[in-house]
Amino acid sequence: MATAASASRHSGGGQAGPSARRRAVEGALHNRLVFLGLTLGLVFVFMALLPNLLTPADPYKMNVSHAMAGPTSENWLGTDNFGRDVWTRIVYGSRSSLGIAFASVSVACSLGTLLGLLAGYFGKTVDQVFGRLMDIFFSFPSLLLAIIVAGILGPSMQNVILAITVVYTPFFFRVARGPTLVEKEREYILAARTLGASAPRILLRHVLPNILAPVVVQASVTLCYAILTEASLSYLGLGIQPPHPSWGSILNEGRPYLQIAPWISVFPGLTIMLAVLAFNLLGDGLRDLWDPRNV
Amino acid sequence: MYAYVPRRLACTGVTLVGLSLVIFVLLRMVPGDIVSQMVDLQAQADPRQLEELRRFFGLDQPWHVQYISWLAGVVTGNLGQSWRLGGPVLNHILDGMSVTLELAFLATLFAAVVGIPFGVWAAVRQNRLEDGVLRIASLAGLSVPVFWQGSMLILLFSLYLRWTPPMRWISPLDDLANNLVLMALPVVTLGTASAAVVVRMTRNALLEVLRQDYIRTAHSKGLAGRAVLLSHALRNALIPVITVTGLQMGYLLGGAVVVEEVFTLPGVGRMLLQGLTQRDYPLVQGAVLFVAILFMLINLVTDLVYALLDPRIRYS
Repeated sequence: MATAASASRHSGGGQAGPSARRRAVEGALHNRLVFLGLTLGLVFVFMALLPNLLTPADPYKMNVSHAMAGPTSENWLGTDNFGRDVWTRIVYGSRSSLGIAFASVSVACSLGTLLGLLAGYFGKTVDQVFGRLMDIFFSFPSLLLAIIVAGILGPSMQNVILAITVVYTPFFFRVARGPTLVEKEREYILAARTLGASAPRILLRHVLPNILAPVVVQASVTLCYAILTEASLSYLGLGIQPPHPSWGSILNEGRPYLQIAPWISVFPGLTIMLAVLAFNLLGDGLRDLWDPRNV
Repeated sequence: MYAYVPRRLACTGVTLVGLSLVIFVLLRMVPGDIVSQMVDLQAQADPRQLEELRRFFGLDQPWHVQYISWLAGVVTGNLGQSWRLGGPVLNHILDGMSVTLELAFLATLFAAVVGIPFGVWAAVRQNRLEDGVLRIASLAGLSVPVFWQGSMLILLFSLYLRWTPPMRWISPLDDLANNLVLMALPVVTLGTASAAVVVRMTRNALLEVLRQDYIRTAHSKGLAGRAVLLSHALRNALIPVITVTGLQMGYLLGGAVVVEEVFTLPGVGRMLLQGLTQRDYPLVQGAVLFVAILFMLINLVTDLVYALLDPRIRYS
């Protein structure tokens, strides 16, 4: 197997060694867009993981006598119609919003990449069956499909994750299938096959590392769409339900009070925009960095 | 090309059957149908009456019988009756579709009119301040949640600029001027993200073309920079831009649902949303089928226009 691996490295494909991996990470950190996106993204991840460090308040605690109060030193971003602190709800809302986005993109990425690898490597019937199945999901605007799936299944966190996963799995399938078709014809794959490597081993140890770059870029871009889709579903009442906070559901709750308490809607929207911008910057930077024309 | 179109349409037909089947099964897999919703409102219903209601809606039949009967209706142009709104589903969808299509078309137009000039400007000023600002602005445009942007525009115009658009739907056939006034904010809301896509696409496509040998030749012949840009570079750079803009129109059909909800427009997306919450199966199935047909037709026409504009593209 070592021979096949070394053949793959010599052919320019193969597994990325530790030094190549380090170079890729260093390159990413030296790219300003990637750095900015990564920093902003990490701030949001930190917000989601340790919300109690950013706000001591309870996101569910009501104070009706203080309802719809504008931003003050005590309530930075004001309070909502139940007197709950908007900043606290945004901080805790990041758990649902980012949690759903990360969970659904992880499942869609794993499933789509796996199906793409299988379709690209085995071809013929496998490719035809998976390809036609994915075509069904590509035949419809993705946001609308997510709305329909979530609308049919009913509002819950699991159903939102399922709806987003169903919609974005075909994108990963397409991204993984194309490069797999190219990689499977390379000499190092032939070498691995000749040495008796099994199909799962070839796919996971040799093909997968070589198609990872576009998959990672796609994951970063899909994360943006997933955050926006979750927010849209919650805004339409098909996602996270009150009193649980998510960025979209906070916006939905602020809808009737847009004219008299605009801060309930303004700040969660800005938060969504910043979070999506962060992952867009990351995806854009990574795409630039790994674009062969820029080498 | 002549063989390609019928083959693609045949594939589209197969995909449509697949999609309609997925939606059909999903709708029936989930517990709770229109009858159980009606019973919730009128407690203590007689089980015989429930049976009667299920028979009335055709829900007592096995799934495959229901599906085949619905599909047979579709082939003859009969999408059934709406359970909640009453009347033929087809009429409701055609009414809603005119609103959604107008919204998507105007948003695409907005995206092209705003996106192409800014994209050209960004390419011409590559790596300068204007390019950087436009790059960040287009990324920000892609990152704005559509519903939030719509809400903020309503807030800005109604609260601070003291201007409220008409809230009642006006058909363009009755009063075009007022219809366009009514559609202004929804169109800007829906078209912003697409405009951002077009800016980025135009910039990248133009930069790609500007690196070509024939552009260098045009410059060395002594042609003015503007002439090279407009008559040599832009013409070729716009081919992929037109394709992307066309494809955007298809995706805007999805975003239109949210915009219709924010601006209370009576489009097919809003109708679909109501149909879903009210378990109006014929309306949901019909609307899904129509949107899918439109989406695929838009994609097909875009592909054909691409081949017409670029003689190097040949579909076989």
